[in-house]
Amino acid sequence: MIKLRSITLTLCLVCIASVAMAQFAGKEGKKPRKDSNKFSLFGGGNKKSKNPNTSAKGESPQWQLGIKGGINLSDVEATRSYSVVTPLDLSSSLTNGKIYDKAYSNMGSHIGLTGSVALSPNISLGFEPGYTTYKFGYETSYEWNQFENLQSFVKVTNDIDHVVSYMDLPVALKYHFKTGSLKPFIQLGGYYGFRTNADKNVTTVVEDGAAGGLDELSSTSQRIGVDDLFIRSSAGILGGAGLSLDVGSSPSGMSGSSDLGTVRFILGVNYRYGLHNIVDVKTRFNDSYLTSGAYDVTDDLELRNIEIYLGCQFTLKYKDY
Amino acid sequence: MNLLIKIFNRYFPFPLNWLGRLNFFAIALLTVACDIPDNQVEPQDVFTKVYNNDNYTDAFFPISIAQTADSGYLVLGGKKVSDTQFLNVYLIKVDSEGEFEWEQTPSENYSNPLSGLVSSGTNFQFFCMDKLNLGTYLVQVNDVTGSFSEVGYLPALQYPLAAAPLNGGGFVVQGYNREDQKTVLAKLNSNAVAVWQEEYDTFEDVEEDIIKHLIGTSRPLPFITGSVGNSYFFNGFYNYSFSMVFVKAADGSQTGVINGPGVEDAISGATQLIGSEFAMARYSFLDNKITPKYQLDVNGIEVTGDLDGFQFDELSQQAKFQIKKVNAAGKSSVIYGTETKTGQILLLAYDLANGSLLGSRYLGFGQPYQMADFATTKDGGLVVLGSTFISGRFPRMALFKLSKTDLEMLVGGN
Repeated sequence: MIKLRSITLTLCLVCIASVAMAQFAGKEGKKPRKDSNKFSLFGGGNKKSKNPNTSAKGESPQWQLGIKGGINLSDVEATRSYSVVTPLDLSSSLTNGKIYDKAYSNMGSHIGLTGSVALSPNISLGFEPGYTTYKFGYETSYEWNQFENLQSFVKVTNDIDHVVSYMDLPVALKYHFKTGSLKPFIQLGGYYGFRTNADKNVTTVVEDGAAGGLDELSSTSQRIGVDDLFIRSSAGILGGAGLSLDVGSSPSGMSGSSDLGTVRFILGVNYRYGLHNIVDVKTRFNDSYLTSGAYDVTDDLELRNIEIYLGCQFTLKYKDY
Repeated sequence: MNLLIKIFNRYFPFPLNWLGRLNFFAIALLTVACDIPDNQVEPQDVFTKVYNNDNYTDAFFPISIAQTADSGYLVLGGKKVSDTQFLNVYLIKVDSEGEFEWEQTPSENYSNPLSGLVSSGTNFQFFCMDKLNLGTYLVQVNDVTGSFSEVGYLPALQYPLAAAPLNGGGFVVQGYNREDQKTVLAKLNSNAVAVWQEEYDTFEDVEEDIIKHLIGTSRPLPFITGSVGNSYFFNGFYNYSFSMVFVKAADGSQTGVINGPGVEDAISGATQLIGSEFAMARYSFLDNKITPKYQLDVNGIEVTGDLDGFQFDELSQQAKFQIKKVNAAGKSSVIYGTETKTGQILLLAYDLANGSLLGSRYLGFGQPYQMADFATTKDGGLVVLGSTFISGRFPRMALFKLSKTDLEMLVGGN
């Protein structure tokens, strides 16, 4: 219940934040401000200020839009474990459990748009829709031995990797520490993702001493689509930090028509904390190839992710602060 | 959506109208995110389990399953041992989520348990064979403590092959008398004391066939027994053939028969539906046929060729059948549990009223799976017990739990 409340709260925050962004823009648009619409990359390019008395010194980018991309280092937290193969001896060392990959060792990627609106000289609201790929995996192994004949052993190891992709809609509130061109920032927000694709890759390695093998005897790999294994939604909170660098000048200082105005380059790191189980519990046992063939069943999983990204934003609109 | 936003704006105060006016997208987001709170299923509703140990030479063969009072499951099976070709009696108890609780191998003398765990108070009873004297034991096990006790032993009822509980209490048990070379049918009371015991001529020595059946070196033979009205029946060796024989419940005297040509052509499954109407299965050499509705004449003489049914070429040539009546989704149906050539367990549901196919469900893939038993569960689902060869070679027991929704889909519900 606490989790559900958290999810609902996060989604509400996301909604309210985007509402605030839109509301703010709406008010700005209605007000006959003399310093608004100083420069627009997509339409109002190179407009001179209507108010010649406005000082260029106070102008800062207000609306910005660009692209961003980077890598994801993902991890999952198994909140409840499931298994197909169940040991018959409770005291046995044979646990048949999953050994998850080292945390944040699997690298995925993300790419998308990055937009922001400045609410004040230090605070901005960012909206960064994009396509995100998370990777995680684990290993299971089973071994059979004949105690009278040590050569009679079989060991089967399954290396199981997942690639899950989402169309993400993150919203974050940014605080910029400095108002110069190089600005460290921190941000806090939430995200919601629509699952677009999910694959599972099962690599099976067999060591068969009973058949005379002294080393790995065979290795097979199978990649299957497991879209139904994950629910459509993924929601969570995010927090991060980074540096932004503003390059170029505001329109009142411009003269050439080819000038892009202020371009902001961003280097940042975000940590995403999923707030709910992303595995569809209704379909967990549906795939017979996995459950009956590879003896694999997916645990309840919550996403954890570190994203490292580079972005570039172009200014759509300026404002005096 | 626009209309909704207008209504929002008009009737809801800040900040709700704010939401409606500016961001129907956010509302849509909340709507699609409904799969997060909906993502809940109890772990005991659906699961797949394979029970394993790391001993290379161990082999486990499932036979029967029953749900216990704590909603767990008691699984009766056989375990291969080194000093005999017969299987030792082996039981495991698992909880409602299929997690292992305990295992028992009660006595070295208890071998070749028969299908059918019968609830008796706080215990479950089953029949098995004495490893040395070949007599019949009725054993009971307490599913909570795992303790065993012997209800009765019948040394004269050798080679127990099939058993069934009777409606009024007691049992009917099919065996084979190796000295007289005759099939035996015995009516027992609930304390495993014989009320009567009758023998039926086979006119040939079939002990070798029976031993091969028991140790698993030949096609498993479909020994079946049970009751229909005031008659009992057995499916076994009779008069140079493998036939279904009907006898009087009062004294075991024969009243009718469905003659089969031999062990290569016989009835492989039979369950009483209503009155003398049965759901049947039959094999003839490599073919398998299913007859969901068949009107038996317990006083007539018929041949198995009269069972005209649906031929299933996908079924294993040595397919075993479990046939049970099931009520689900407001329908009365009969479910056949069997196995395919491709190593899957196949469930087929037929309408009890008209014998039409309602649905099918395959279980298992990638490794060979074979049918052992199935039972409905307290939560309205179905539990299916099967055998598998883990990693293609180690015989182990597998358990599939289907949810109430799964069962309703199988019988054609919505």
